[in-house]
Amino acid sequence: MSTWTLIRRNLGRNRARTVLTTLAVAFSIFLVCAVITLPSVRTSILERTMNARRLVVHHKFGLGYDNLPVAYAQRVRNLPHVTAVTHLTWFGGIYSEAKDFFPNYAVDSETIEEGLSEYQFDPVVLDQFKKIRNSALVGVRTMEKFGWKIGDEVTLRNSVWFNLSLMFKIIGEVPNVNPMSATLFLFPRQYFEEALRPYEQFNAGGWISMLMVMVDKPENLKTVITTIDEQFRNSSHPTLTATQYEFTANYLSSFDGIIQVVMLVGFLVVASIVLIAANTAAMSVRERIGEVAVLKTIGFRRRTIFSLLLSEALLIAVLGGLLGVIPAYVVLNAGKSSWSPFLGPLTLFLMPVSVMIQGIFIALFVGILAGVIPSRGAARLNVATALRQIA
Amino acid sequence: MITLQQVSRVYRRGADEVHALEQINLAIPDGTFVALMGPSGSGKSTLLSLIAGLDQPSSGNVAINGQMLSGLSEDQLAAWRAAHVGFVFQFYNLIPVLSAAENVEVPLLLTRLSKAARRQHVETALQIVGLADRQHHRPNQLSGGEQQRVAIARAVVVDPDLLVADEPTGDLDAKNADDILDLLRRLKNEFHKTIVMVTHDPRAERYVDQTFHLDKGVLVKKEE
Repeated sequence: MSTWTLIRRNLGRNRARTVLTTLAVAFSIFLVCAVITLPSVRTSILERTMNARRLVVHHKFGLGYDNLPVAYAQRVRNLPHVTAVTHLTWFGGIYSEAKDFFPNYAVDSETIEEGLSEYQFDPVVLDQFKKIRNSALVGVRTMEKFGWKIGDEVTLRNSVWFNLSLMFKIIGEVPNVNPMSATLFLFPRQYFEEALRPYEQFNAGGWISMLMVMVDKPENLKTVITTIDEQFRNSSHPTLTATQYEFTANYLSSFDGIIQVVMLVGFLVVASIVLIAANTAAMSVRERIGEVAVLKTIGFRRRTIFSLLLSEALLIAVLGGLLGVIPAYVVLNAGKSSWSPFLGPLTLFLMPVSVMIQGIFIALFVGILAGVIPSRGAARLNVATALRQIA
Repeated sequence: MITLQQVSRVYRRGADEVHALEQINLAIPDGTFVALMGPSGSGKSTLLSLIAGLDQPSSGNVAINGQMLSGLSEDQLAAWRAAHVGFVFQFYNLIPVLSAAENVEVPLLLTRLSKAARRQHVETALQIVGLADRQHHRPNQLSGGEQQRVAIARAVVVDPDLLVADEPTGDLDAKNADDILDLLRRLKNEFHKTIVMVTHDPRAERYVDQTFHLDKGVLVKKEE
């Protein structure tokens, strides 16, 4: 037998309690790893959706403020260093309920292939997209969400554009190239313009939400940005041009507050686990106060008793920590090697090894905080008094 | 030789002072089996704690085989107890998650003995108490008498000079009580242990060499 045997046997004394405490630590460490990794979601989205040569052009006062005239597309296409231009118009269609949000855009079927070249649309599908006036290409997650399949006819109602209600025929999927593509719903702009024709007196047609501009070389991005914004500076619809990275980063920064709240909640969970583990450790020591007194009587010194009891708390914490960080590493890196739309938001996490190490250290910290006070109390126990209590 | 000179122990209970022991003078030669008897609250257990180095006197000196216990730090006392004193309690106080052999081995964890040597000591101690065949049993698989024998094996496994026992027969039936007292007597006779035992058990007087009676913290009678 060794002191390790003593520690191990003591942990096995109340198996249910040990297992539950270990699992509580494991769950909290898993959560902490997810929370620490949360900011990486933004980086992940940016890295996976960004094209280093693409610019996004929208209204100077914001994407939701106003639209741009569709004629801007041709004017931008004629600028030096611009190799391709396509445009998207936010439709804001709702299928079932507003909370089941998915991004749906009217797109220029003639230029989408060159404007969104990384999507590598199937030429056959794209050909159909151009020919069938009410066709739609839908991301796989949106298809799965609503139980749609290719060939289905679906109607989207709308409150942005004169309460239009448009019926679409799904002719194919948007290729899965990044987390955004899986949710998209794209349909030809011509169909949208036709639907707006009855509202011509309200100047309904001829508007787009944004331009996607491809530039020949990354070093020419700045020049093209300045040229575009200068060109429309004094018009009734001035533009704001940004790289796709800046545009997306700016959009994602609106979630910073939520991320901070989630992180705070995560750390509060850890704090409550510390309290639970401390209470468990205190209960465990209190139940064995007689045995501690006997060990001290036999000649175990304060520091030995302290180490024995603290080791129990640390062992639970480290075991819980490992049970937390290993699944966290596996789950939170599930989308690292291959992008799968079916992993949902998990696929956006990228948990580095450093977070694993942080998780283990946090678990150790939980163990120390939980174990140090009851262990110290037991180690400082007055033997004569304790023996009188158990006699 | 256990020597107590003018030993007093005063506890503070709030604003009051409780005189647990007053001016005790005592000399117990090596290899003697003595009983400390007296009514509850007479100071028997306090005296035992002082002799065993579990507590310090408020005044006076306690010396065991020439080692003055007064003035030793808590850690020094712990080390002294680990090397020189074996303890037997009324309720055995075995660790329930360890087997009999493992319980006996616990004091040896404080020594530098190898695993094999520890194993040898444990087997010897269990043979002395007649429980070699029960070494793998857990305390809850043993009778009260057997548990107390394991506790005695644990007390003698480090081969201490002094054994202290606090009501070792208090939780046992008459047959087992006699067996335990007989075992303690045998430890004294065959292994020359000095044994100090607190007891209320009148039959103990048949086994011990000397009996000290205490009342209200004062040594009132000594019987040979």
